[in-house]
Amino acid sequence: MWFNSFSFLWFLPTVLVVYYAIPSWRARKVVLLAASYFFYACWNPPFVLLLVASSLLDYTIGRLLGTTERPRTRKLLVAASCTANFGVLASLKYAAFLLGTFDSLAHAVGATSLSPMPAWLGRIVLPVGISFYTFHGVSYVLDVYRGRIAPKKSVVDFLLFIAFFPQLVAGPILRAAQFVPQLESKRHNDAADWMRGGYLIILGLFQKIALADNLAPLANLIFDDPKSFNTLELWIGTYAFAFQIYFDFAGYSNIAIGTARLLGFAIPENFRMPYIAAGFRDFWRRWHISLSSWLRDYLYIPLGGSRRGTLLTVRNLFIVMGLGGLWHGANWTFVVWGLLHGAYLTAEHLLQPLLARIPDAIRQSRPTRAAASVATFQFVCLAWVFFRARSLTAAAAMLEQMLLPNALSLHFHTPVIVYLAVGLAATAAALWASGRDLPRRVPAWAWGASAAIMLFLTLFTWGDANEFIYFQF
Amino acid sequence: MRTSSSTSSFERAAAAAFALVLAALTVSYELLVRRSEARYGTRPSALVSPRLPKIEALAADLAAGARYSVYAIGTSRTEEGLRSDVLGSAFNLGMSGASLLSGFEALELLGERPKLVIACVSPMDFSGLFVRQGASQIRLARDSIAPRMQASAASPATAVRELTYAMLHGAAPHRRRNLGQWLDRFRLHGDLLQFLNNADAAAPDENLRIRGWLGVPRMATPETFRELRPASSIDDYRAAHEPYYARLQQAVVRQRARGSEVVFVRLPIASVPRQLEDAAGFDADMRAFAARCGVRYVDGNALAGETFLRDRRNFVDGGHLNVTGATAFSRALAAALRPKP
Repeated sequence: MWFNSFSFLWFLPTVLVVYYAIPSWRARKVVLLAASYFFYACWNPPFVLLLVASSLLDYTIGRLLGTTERPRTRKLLVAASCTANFGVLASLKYAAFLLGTFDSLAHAVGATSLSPMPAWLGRIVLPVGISFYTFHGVSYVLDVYRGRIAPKKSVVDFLLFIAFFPQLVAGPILRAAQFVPQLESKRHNDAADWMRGGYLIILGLFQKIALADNLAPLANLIFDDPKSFNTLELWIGTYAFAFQIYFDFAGYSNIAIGTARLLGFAIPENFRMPYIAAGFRDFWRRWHISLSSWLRDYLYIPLGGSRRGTLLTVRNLFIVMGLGGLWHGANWTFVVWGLLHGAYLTAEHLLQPLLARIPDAIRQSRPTRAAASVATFQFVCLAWVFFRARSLTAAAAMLEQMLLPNALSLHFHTPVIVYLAVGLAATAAALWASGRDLPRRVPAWAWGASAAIMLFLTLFTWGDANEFIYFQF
Repeated sequence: MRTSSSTSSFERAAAAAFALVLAALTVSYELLVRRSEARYGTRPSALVSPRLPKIEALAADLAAGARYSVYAIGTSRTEEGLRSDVLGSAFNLGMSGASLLSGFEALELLGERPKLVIACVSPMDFSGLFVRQGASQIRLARDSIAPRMQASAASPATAVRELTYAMLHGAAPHRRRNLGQWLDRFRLHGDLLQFLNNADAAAPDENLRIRGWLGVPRMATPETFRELRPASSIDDYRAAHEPYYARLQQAVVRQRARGSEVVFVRLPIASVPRQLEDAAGFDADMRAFAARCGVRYVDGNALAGETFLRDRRNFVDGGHLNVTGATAFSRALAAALRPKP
């Protein structure tokens, strides 16, 4: 079931009515759990079993960790959880990719090739949201192992933490410490919560339906046949994709956060105007925050972070960003996208001593920050080419054309460029508004009117209904 | 937004503004749409534009009692290159930018069991881009016509959708206008009510449209006569055509099981694009595939003859026939498909 479908339009009010009609908090949680499994089953019922099995395994390991103090046993339990979770993820998501890569390597060194690839590999269906709920489960086990949280006793609470439908299929990636305490007592909503939840849902639908889905045709046109377009058109297509993926994923996150809010739960924000970031560390503090903070806490810091000298810091950055790229999909294009961001972060890290010599008055001034934001955005867009291209070869050919201008005329007639202008204008406005604390100064009528306009535009400019891009990850 | 829970007047003001603005916008827009429907009625289904959801138009035609015994399916080459009125009781279901796989899916979606399906093949039908674009057309059509076609499978979600469209005509799939279209409308200064009624209201009415056939009168220039668009179609075909052949075979089997005869037709194209396609092995692949499926294959190039193929007055560009070419070729094809006594 998609948030931007009529089914959800029927599903959410039903859940809300039933949920608030039941006085018992325990029963409410059972209703939420059932609704979450139903929500997931609407896509592919048998995969609910995998979700339940994976959740029960992590629950059991968490309980066992709570009963033993022996370091060796505890490590074995964590290893068992990681092996099982990442094993399932690897076999369902990366099997064909790993075998294909191995085959290519074998072929390159003249060894016997595995080809033809087993036919069943092509028939593997990737369970929606598996990358997200795997990370939920692993983070829970690691937090229990490190003593950050106590193992959860209630199986319903734990299953709900993993399967909570607003964030089940595309995040934000929740931590047990953020969500599980909210299950301890009955959730209450006041008028402000209802308004905030509703506003976020409308904003998310607007971002997805009115903006992202209408930008998609332009991005698809360019990326599906890049050879037919010139430098300017390729840049426009790349900007279109940059805004498409932002509006798509930020839209999903806003709907998820808003829906959770209506149910009385708080989910942390996942995007903080990423395209106004001044620098790449800043970008990753604003883009897909739940994933970047997960990678920081469970991979980058355990590897040593930036505490063990420049060389190891650079190594850690490349490992984390490369794996972060691979998390998005079983394709070298995603890995290169991640590594490119690793290179950006490395360059920024190495330039830090030089940048520190610039006086604060200049470094922190608005024009400097604006220039840094524009430059960061260009580099982020260049990296998106790898993320969206069909192959590394296609991406390289496209980048060559983009960086070595051949023509700057527009040959396609596409009024859809207006959506690109909306994206750029929104970014410029966000850049202007940053640090001015505008939201608190906006009058009530403006909030209401803006929500009404967004809902109106969503209803009457509905594009081709596309599923959310992040469903595939 | 404020965070304090003691801001009830703030919430009340925001809610009032929301309701007021939404009502003002929606009601005024809906009144305009209904006025446009009162003036222009619903879209004339026999005049299908390439920018209208074609499957929807066909569904409306069928609902109004039309019956077709022949369907032509394929890409824009088909849409522009085969005259429905020359082929008898035929409908041209060719869709610009969409693989013929989606043509078969459309027939299934509509429950159509014609006597004959003319499946026009080109390398584009086996490219990921055309398959994806076709799938998108099918998704749109399913979203819009499924409630009408499958009343028995009504679900609460369908009921909500139908109720929404009944209350808000402007939100129905064929009435929605995105911001880009609005921009076009202001640029072209078209009639607002006509624009709200029909997606191609602002387009110059230069083409002939007969039962799905889009006849283009324009003639190829010496330059466009040598062109093959999209430029990447040959590379795409070389890169990954096998899985789409397998899907086409399944589609053919299903359509034949529904009682239809299927014929593969390669429409005539100019010599430069033809050489490119032949060099990629397309003609040989198709012949072998047709033999494997047990389906008749008609090479339109052989049927049309070299004189026809060399004359750019028959073409819009290297890959598409214009009205003159489509008329002549459709006659030749109709004769070739007519059962021999």
